[in-house]
Amino acid sequence: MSDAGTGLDASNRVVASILGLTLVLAGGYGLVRGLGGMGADARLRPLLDQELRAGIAEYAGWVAGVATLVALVVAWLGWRWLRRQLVPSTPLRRIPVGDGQGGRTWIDTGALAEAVTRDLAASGHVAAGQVRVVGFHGAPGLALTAEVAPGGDTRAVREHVAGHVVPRARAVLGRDELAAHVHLRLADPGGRTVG
Amino acid sequence: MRVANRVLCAVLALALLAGGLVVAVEIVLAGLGQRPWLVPHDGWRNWATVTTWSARSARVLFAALVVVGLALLALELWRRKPPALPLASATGDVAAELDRRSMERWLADRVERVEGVSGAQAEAGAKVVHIRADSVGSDAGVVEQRVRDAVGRHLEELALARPLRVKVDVRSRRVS
Repeated sequence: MSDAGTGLDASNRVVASILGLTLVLAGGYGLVRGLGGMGADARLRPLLDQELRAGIAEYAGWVAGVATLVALVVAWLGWRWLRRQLVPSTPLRRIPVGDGQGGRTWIDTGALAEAVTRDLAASGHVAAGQVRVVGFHGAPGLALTAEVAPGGDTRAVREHVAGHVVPRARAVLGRDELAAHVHLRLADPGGRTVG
Repeated sequence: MRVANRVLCAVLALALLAGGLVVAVEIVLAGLGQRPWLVPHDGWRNWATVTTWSARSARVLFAALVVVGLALLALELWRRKPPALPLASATGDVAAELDRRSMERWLADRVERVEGVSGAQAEAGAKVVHIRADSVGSDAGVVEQRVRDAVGRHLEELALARPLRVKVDVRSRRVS
């Protein structure tokens, strides 16, 4: 699945824009105040003035607690964002297919992906295919990439995926809600594999 | 570009993670009466206590924040070509998209088959596809219309979710 498919690029742009806007607002406030936009008195005060120092000293415990909490939240958000760059869509190794008295039955996603890839490539309009099982145990999804054969029909490929490949996978897993996303590539007219 | 942005975001995320952890540790150490670990915050506090908002050093710092923030905003809000174009849904619950670069190569190849065209390039964005074609020994206006018709037909065949506007430039080349 492409970055567009996972929404990674879009979410990166939103988060980085918020960071950029925060820097602009903080720096802009300082510049406006430093240039006298908030009065001469405000301009000539120290960055950490007596009033602010007294306030911090009076509530030192609270200020330290809140500041630590905010710092930890920022670190946690940073960790989550970093993890998203390293693993944009989580590949699943196995998913549950049913619960019984004796326990839970799991299916290996490697075998499932292989079977779905075979189904995908069975269409005469598909030159090559690749399937990954992504998401979470409770909400797995299929990320399919298909290279449309030279002279192949994209509509036929999509109909094959939506009418045959995905319904079969859903039936095997017993999950009608199984999400699927297909990324099509048109075969390179020069005969090379489009990468 | 998407890869470069992902690297930039990974660096920013790492900075947030490391910065947040260092600040939390420094606060705890200060609360326990220990010396600073990595950040010389005593020196920073002294600087902030004697430096006014109008001081040159403070203004340089604020200007730097604005410049970095604006650069980040410009980079992120810059309109980039999508890596893939959404396709009209076949059944409703299977999302489909078409790789943009492969579509450009495919369209260029189709345009090169149009009568009077000796070479072509296609460049697609989210709303417009721009075709540049070379014609040899033919009326450029006629070739342009043929190219436009062919591209329209082929785009229809692809069934994109949002139709693309077609822009055609034909360069006439004389055969010597």
